[in-house]
Amino acid sequence: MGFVSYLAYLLIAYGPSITIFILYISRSAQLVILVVSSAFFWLISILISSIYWFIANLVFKYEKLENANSDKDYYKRIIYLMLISVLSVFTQELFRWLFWKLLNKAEAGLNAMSEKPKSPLNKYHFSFASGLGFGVMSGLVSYSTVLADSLKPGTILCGACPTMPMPFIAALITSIFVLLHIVWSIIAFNAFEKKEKLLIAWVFIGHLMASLATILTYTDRMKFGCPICFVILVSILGYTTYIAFKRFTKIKMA
Amino acid sequence: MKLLSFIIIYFLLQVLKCTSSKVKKDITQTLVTEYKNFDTVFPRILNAKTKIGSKSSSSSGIIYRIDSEEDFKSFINNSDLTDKYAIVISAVFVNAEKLVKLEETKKVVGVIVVYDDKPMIKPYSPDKKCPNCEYGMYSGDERANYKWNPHGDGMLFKYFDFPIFGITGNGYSVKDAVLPIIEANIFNKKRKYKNYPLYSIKFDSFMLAPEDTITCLSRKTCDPIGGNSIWSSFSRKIDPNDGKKIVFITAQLDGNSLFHENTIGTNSQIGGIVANLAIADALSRSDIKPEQFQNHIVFMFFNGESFGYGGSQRFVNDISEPFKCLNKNERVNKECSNYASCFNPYMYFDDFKNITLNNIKGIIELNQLTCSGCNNTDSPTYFMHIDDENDSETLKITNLISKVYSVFGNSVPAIPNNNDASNIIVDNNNNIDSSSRNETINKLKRQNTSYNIKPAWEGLIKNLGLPPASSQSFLKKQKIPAVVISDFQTEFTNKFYHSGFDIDSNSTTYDNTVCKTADIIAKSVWLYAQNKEIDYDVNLIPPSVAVNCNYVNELMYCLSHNISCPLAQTLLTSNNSTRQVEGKLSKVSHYSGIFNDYSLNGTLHTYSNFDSWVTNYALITSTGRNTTFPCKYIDDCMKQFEYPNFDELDDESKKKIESMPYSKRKYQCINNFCIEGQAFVHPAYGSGLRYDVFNNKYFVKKEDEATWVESRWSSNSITICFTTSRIFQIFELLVGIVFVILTIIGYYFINTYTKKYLKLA
Repeated sequence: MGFVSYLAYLLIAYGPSITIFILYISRSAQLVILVVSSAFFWLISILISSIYWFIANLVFKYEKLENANSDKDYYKRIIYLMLISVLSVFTQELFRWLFWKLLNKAEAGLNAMSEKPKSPLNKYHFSFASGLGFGVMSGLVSYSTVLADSLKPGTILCGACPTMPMPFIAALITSIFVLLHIVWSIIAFNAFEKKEKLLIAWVFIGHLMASLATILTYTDRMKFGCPICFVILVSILGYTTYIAFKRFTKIKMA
Repeated sequence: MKLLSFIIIYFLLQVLKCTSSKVKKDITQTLVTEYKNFDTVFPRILNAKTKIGSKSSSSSGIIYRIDSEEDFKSFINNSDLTDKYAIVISAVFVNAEKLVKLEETKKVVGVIVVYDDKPMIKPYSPDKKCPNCEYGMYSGDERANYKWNPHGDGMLFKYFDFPIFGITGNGYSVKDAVLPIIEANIFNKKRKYKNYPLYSIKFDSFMLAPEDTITCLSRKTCDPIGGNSIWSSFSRKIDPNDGKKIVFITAQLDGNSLFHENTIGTNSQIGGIVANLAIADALSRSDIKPEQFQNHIVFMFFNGESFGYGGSQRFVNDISEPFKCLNKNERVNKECSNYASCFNPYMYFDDFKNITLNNIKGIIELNQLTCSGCNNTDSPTYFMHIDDENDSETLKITNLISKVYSVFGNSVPAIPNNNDASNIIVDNNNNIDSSSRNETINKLKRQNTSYNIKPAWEGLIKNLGLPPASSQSFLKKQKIPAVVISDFQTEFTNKFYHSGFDIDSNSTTYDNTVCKTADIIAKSVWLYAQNKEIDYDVNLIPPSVAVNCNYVNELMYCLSHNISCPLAQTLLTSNNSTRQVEGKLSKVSHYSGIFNDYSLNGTLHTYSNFDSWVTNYALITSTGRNTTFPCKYIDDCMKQFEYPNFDELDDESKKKIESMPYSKRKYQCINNFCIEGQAFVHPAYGSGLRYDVFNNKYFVKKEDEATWVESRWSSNSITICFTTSRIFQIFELLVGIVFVILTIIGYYFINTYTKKYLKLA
């Protein structure tokens, strides 16, 4: 509602990614290419997830549960959401791995074209860029329609937090997710290379927990849903960043 | 840093608030509703000097409902309310004084008027206290200030600085439409209209026309208000030199009210229309054929009267000079019809040229006739208004009416023979057999009703002259005997003149009011048109010349309540009996509408002008000559009577004949029988406007006369939505800026960190 809010949501949701892009990615052509191609990979993964939803609708008739009034229907909805979330997260991580494989093949060439061919920092540049690509595309797909609608008169209030407009909460979640995708990519690429199963599992579980935590903002059945969601997200972000940073500093020292 | 702490604290506050407030999820989803295509808006209306109506707007305001006088007072006096508000107010509270007060608070962005089921107790009229008096014959005189309409406050002719929308219930249930607004208001009220988030309404209404008539007509962003007047006569031909004079019986077709979709006017003008049609019907049953009377009778229905006597002024101007057609052969612009009688000046029908002011014997006008506000509806009193009580010609008419009254005043109008062929259009369920008919007559005789009609100036110190009436347009130009029949003497008895509340219950009958009056006038006209007003023995008026009260009651019902009634259905499906009158229409609006290209070519049924259409065909049925030839389509009559050798003609001639508009044909198919008759239309819009046929534009010729136009407008809608406070929006923006700044800081931090490490490594 109103232009001020629109600008605010734009800055909250896409401000960090745009800033990073301008300051960091745009210096190197390879990184830009990586961002774009990883975004494309994410797009494919979400396309496949939408097929899961389509099948779920056909089989379980999810649409009829949309206006759930009874408790039973309501819990059914939540269960379906969780199931499909698991599948979708799995697909996204699968595509992250596929992109890493692609990156492997291209790495030699990318390294040759970069500023400092032999620097071990390059891997981190590449994983950062691919993470950003994933995150930006995820943010665009999930938030751009909400952003466009926020120009219309009035606003919709968040289900769990009726004093906050929904686009505001969604913008915050989107910006956190962009950052999360970046750090997950950093860790995941490192883990794929070193074949550390535990870390891969952590990325998967972290992603799943973050996705499910956003469900808490829809409903008013759970008290403090909104703050809990943000607490979960921020803590996952914090911990993952810590792991990534530790790895980063470890590499440097070696 | 202070800013940062403000942001954090504000954020935490909002988070804490959100866990404690209870907003049902259902409201969040259902109340964000959008009403599109709001046709009930008080539009911007202009004349050469001023504008009236409401403003265009696309602003939003917090919903505030006014449901009682106390609510209104508390809104006006509350100094806590600092934002802009959208007022939702019940129609019973709306008047000029309240709207002006709302405007003065400068806190109102729009008003929605809801016609709910609150009863309207006090009399109220939004028209002026002396309607149309500045355009009448007494303008400039002290009689132009006489308060005929004492309950009027002139709201219709004021301009307001905010859009005024209406929820009138035409086509949807008011309750359904208003329920979300009421719920939203309850929510807002709990938060004292201050604690955001609150429900707001966004108004989207756009009036195209700018400040005045001259500009908007040249840009074509407005149209003249008006329509087509309808007239017809029993006589096949009116010749100014045939030695016969013309008796005019007139009534007003159009009404007015705040919302044009909600304009009925049962007691304002429909009584007059129905009486006029009933008189035509009664005279059609005269044994002596009316076309053989010593004078012509013209039944006239003026449109556009509510805005400066548009129809009557224009007609009088057109007949006061001989009509000279400059171009009869070829049409000048493509909007003109090929079948118009004259292309420059553009006139679809030119049969009016045979009527002249000098040839008018007298005018009898049927004004407000339902006596809804009369003190005693069992003993209604009607009044005859004249301009000059010393004029002998005019007094002849009033004396005649009094004479007829003295004989027939308190007897029951005879129910005519049902087998009479001219009564075919009467309600098909009217199967009264003779035994019950006698019973009905006896029952009516036993009722203690007494009727009275008398001169209006009797018993008054001074003759007040004519009330607001179309006859004033005639008398302004020339002294003609004219009598205006109405149910009031010194002040309107109609409590809701030109108001959205001007409608009776659908079980009201008009036997003793409209029907009785029409009966007496019909008998008087029967004598007057045969020059028998002086010596004739009134008792010898044939019983066939009697008004059919069933016809009157059914027409009143059809025009006021339900246009899908059997009588109106029969009339509206004339000339094509397989056509259905579209949809489930019931109440239709009696606003005259705008005079557009369709009206220019004689079309009656545009923008729901059903009253004109019904009047047109009912009039033809009465004034025409019935044949016994059955038909389904008008072409059946054409093939039988006008072109018997139709099938043998070549295709081009066939096309030409078939494409002739129905209004121009001599035979119409009404109620499945062919009738030879015609009704004529005459343009009715402000006399200060002229039509430029070369450019297809209207322009202002005389600024001092009526120049009313209505602005064009695109579809209006309102949207109900949640809004957050300004402070919150700024807070959101600050959060966004903080995010960006944090990212920049983070980037430089990591950059210096890696450089440090790179240096080391």
